[in-house]
Amino acid sequence: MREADSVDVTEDITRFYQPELARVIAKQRLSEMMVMLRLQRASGEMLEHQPGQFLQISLPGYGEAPISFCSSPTRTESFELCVAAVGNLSEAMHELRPGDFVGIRGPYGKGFPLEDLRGRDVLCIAGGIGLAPLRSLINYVADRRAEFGRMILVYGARKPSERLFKDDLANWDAREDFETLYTVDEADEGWTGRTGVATVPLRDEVEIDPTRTTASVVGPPVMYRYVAAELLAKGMAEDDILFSLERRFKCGMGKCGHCQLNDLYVCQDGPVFRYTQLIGRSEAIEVWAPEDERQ
Amino acid sequence: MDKPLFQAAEVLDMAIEIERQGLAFYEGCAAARASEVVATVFGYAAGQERRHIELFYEMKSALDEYTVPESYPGETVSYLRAFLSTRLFTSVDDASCSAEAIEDEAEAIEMAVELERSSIAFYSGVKQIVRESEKGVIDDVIAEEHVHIRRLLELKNWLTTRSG
Amino acid sequence: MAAELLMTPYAMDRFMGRLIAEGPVMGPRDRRVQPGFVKFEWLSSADELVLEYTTTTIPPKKAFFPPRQPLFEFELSEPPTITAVQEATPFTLVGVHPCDLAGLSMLDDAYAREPAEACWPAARARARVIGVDCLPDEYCFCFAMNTCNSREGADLFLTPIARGYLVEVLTEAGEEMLRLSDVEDAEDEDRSQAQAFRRDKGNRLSASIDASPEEFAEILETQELGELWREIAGRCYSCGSCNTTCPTCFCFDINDEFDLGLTGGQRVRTWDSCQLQEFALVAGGHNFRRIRWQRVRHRWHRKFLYLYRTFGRPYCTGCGRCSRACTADINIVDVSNEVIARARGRV
Repeated sequence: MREADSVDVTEDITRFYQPELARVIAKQRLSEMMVMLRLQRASGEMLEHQPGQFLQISLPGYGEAPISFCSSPTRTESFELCVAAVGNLSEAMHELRPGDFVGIRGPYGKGFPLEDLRGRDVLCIAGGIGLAPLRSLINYVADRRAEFGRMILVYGARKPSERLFKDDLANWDAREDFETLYTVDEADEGWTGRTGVATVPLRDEVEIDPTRTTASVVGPPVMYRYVAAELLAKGMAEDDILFSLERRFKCGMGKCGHCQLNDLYVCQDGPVFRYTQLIGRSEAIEVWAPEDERQ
Repeated sequence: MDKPLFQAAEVLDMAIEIERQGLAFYEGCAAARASEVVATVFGYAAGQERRHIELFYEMKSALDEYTVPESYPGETVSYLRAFLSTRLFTSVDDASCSAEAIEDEAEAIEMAVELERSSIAFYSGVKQIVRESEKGVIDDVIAEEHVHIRRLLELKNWLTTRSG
Repeated sequence: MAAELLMTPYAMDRFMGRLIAEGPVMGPRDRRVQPGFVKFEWLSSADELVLEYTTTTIPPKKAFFPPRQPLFEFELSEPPTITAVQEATPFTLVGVHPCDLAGLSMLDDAYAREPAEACWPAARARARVIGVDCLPDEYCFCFAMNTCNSREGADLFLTPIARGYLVEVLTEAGEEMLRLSDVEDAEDEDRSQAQAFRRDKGNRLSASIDASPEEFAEILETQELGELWREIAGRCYSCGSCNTTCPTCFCFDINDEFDLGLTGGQRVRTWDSCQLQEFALVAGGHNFRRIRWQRVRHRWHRKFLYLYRTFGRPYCTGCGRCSRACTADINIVDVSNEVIARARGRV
């Protein structure tokens, strides 16, 4: 038998599927369902990401899942991810302690188009845990304030106890150069702020110059159409409305097929899309009605 | 836009909410108004709104039970109410409260006409997005709301001539 | 023009025997439990090879993209250790039909699109490929898909003739392989018999798509055919057999599997199917192709519209495997032609 010429494939496979190790630096509970993990690459190198991009995070034995960055790339020594306890993997991640290791791959995807946002008024509309990816953008604007116009944040949470990043919310609220409108859908006794969903203050209290504003929207699927309706009513162009879509990415590199949205791969072409990109694509069901829902 | 912003089931939810508000208003007015003639007209309108609600529910059940998953129960309705709150009433409760607060019959009738007009405008929009087979149902509803307006205006005339 | 040689049946037998002695060879052979049905399998001797066969249930892509493939192994140490699973042994894939050669080439393109996937090209780099021409059955429509004379990626290509096989030498690796064989120069008669074989193949192909790939893509892009998709979906069981048997399907899932000791395990890549309801499920119960007809339509759109636009040819080889495998008798040619007929009927 001929001696087998070994073909070295290690490097390539490492690049595509194999995670590198990152260490948990800190863990902070944000709400009953959410914890924030601050991570650092085991190599010590910086991980360069853009607001709106995502990372594949894994725990050996539990699998891998995509999670958006919630920290700004302007604060680069470490990075932060928000994990909702919704399955075996995320529940195991809730049990992590500082010093523990996780696997990471990425960053992947197209985030918020910072170059296009520069010089424009930044209107962020967050619903529920959608604030996590937007925090990355908002803190980016905060750290490079002079590069942007107005910064307006509309944030709706279900209940006061489910509001994320309470310190950030207070900091943004205290800033003279930020306009913040916070609301909860179900107030409790201690809540003195607005009640109702995010579209109410967006409609009634936010005045914008639609020609110089770009809206970045992240929230539950239910929210998108209502936000779109309000933004269009304010005269905004569809091209200036950005939506971040959630899909179940398996590979993150446009191969596994799970995130295919008509002809687009959300993991490559998104997850942040211009509204114009989604118009007429029936599988963007956050913003479009499926043609007919009967079996 | 070549595609609807909202899906049919959601728009039917909106229609149901609008009809429920109308129903609450008419019932509130009918209960509070002394005049038998006004109570009769409002009671008749209330009965039709009740039937419209059933119609919209039927149309909705004909759709496959499609709902965008909520991140918490009642989320969709919260957004729906907020969306509709630019209309005359913000909620069913608001509609009955308004009915109770109204001073005279003429004001109630004017408000009812306004309500019917905005409903017709909304349903004309709804008609663009439902299936071909259901356009007729929407047309019938719109026609009935037109009849409401005509009757309400007749009633207003009658009240004016009686008092004048 | 590639060199053309003659290999007699006896020489072929000796050639295969030597290839198998040299290293792993995968080729079509009878299923042990189902004689008469041929599958791609590792060969232990030359007489197992069935070079003249109609089709296999599972296409030869499995040689490079196994249904279940460990990506790496992990140990739950502190920190966890991760070790790549790498297969490095060169092998030979024998008996690949032209349509399947085209299918492999399509997956080359799909996986190479930036950011390029790693496992597929690594496996391709390990293999030499020997193609063989074939005679179609009533499900085949490779002529319509322009794959019936494909030689893509083949190092050698065989055409059955009276004296054995006409051998086309297509690459240096193919020429190198022939050092293990006893080939003779082909004569004009051998060449004209190979041509006759190809003509016969063309004449036997009865199934065809009634529109050019471009026209078909335009129809899928512009025509709302919800009623038709609903009719087809009314018969579909969403079993995913069409995906499993497809030579151009390349979607996958990735999951972790623990070893029995629970101290380590593997991250494993497995074939996945867009026809299964869970495929497009998102965290929170959101599913953007929840309804069956949306998934059926997706399959056609992906093969004949999206990937056609991306790579310049339909991602269908015309092999007919999905039609043969379909438990509900949904035939890809019939459905495609119905789509075309309805679209044209409207104009």
